[in-house]
Amino acid sequence: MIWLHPGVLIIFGAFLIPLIRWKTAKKTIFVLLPVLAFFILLMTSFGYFGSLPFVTWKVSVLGKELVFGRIDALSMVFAYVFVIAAICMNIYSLHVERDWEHVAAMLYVGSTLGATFAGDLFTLYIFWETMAISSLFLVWFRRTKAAHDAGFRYLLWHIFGGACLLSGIVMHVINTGSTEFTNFLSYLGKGFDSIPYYLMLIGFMLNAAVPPLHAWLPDAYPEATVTGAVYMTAFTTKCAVYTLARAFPGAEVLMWLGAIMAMYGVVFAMIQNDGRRLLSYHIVSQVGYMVCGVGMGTYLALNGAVAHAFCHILYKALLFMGMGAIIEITGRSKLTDLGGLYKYMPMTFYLYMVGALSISGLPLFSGFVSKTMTVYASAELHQPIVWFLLEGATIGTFACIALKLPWNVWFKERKIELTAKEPPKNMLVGMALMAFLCIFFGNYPGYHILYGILPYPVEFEPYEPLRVVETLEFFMFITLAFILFKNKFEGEDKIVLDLDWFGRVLGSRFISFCEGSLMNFASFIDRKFSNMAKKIKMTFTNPEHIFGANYGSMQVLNTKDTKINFKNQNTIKISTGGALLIILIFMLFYLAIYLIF
Amino acid sequence: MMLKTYYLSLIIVIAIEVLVKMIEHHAPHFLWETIPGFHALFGFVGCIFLVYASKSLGHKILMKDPEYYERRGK
Repeated sequence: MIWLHPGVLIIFGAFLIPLIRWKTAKKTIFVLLPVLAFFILLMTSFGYFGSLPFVTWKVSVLGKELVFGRIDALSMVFAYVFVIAAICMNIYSLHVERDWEHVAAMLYVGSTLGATFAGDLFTLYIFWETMAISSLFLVWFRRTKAAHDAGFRYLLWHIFGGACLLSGIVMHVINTGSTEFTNFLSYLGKGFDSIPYYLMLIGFMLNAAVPPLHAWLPDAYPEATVTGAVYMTAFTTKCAVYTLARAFPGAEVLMWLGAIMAMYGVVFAMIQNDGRRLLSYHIVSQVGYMVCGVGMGTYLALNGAVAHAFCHILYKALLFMGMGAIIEITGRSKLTDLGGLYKYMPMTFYLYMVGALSISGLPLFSGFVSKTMTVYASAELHQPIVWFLLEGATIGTFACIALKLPWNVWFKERKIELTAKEPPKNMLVGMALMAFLCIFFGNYPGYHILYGILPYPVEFEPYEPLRVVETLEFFMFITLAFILFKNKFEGEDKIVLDLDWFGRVLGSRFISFCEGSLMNFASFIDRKFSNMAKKIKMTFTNPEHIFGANYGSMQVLNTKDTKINFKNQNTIKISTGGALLIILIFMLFYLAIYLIF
Repeated sequence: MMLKTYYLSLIIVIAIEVLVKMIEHHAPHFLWETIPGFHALFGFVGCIFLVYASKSLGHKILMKDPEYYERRGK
């Protein structure tokens, strides 16, 4: 039972890249790594390295078994698409000369594969955190202040999610003694006993960017490097969908959150001005379909969620590649800074449009064969609200990605100076590969290709005449609305607040409150108490101060106070005889104390 | 000219939909699936509603100057 773990291969292979001097070899290795991983996966599924459906890589640590390679239908679908996407993305980023960025990207891909194949919770957690850290570097390699800050916020969110996940795992392992990563649905909804599972759910939901835990995604992705962002669109959220599908299929809360999430992303995308931020909100929206499918939990819905993850990775990466090409060439990402690019970058436009039509779910493009499954599943479950939210999100997706963004970027003439050219060839090749796959899977969902590798048997035909006609009609009338209300779709040079406002503004206000008002209050209290203590000390060292008599002994301590005291003239003058009398009284008092004790 | 063809195709696509609904008998899951041209209406009205709703939400609460966060904390 020898099986080379594709994730481990990619992780260790990545470190060859900075070691080798020869550029061609570097680039060859970079592209070859995921290709090799793909062949390993192909051979695995045909049972070359052991028996199906369970091939496991087991290591025993501290009496607990770490399972690195659990291979079943669910993990294989995700592994396939991760690797296929990585091949195209690596070609797309071949022109980048920073070796360590490639290493970070490959670590990210490898650890995602590791998390996908993880059979126990600790292995999952290790790869989960590796994913977060390696993707963080894809943000930081942009080397701008905005990227630096967004990276830190990204890190904070993921540390929180990771901490939730780890505490959930530890509590679960202590309670049950089992480390197996399996279906935990039956543990939910049992009061305090289900706290660990809710913690795990929060950890997974944070990575899937389920509101209100989603703000890191549209914050960090648009700030990442051009090529880094392409990787980020695919792995973190879809790996989280995989874990949700593995651990909590059929959790009703996910169905509602997913449906809301689909709509939420679309509404926020509608008012964005940064191209990649707009697309990022559509990741939130699209992952909403998957989370909703996982939450519905029927075979059809789960298949829909998995198929949608599969197709989504391909077309979303393509969209980010298109927008990334524009940023690479022009250095601009705001819709209001772009316009009229069609005469310079027509190829990029056509390739982008393949992605845009795929995400909208036009027949013959990949979104159609996967999105319709989830939507149909909601109809079969008789959930009209979910159906409306999902179909409504489709409206926004088409209007925003296939109409608003291309119109603003490629066609609208603005009074700006802008010249551009097509991006480097490798970028176009990467995009063309992705576009080919989008059209391929859209045309041949087939029972041997996409539908054949889904975790459950598929009894669904996307190309029913009525559905095709209805979808066409749907999109044509959205276009009509767009034509009539075109000015509403113009970009506006604004930023849009999201829930991270609470962290960024309220949080910094809280810190400045702590540093300012709270510290002032503390030092005020401090001053009061030390003055009081000083006075008490004075009184007992020199009792005449009880009467407020000031004979200079006090003033010696602080020259500043002396001045004030002299100004105020609050001192009481006592005659020498009076003073002697007071001293006598105190002496008697001391004598009395002495005699008593 | 192009726009006219487009408007014509809108009508044609609704006609085809009604035709397909008559020929094929689908068991509808929801009542509105039986309405002819429902998706056309939903797409058109939904798109206008969505853009107006999100724009007004943005203008009232969410949209700020690009330097908003630089001025107010991180």
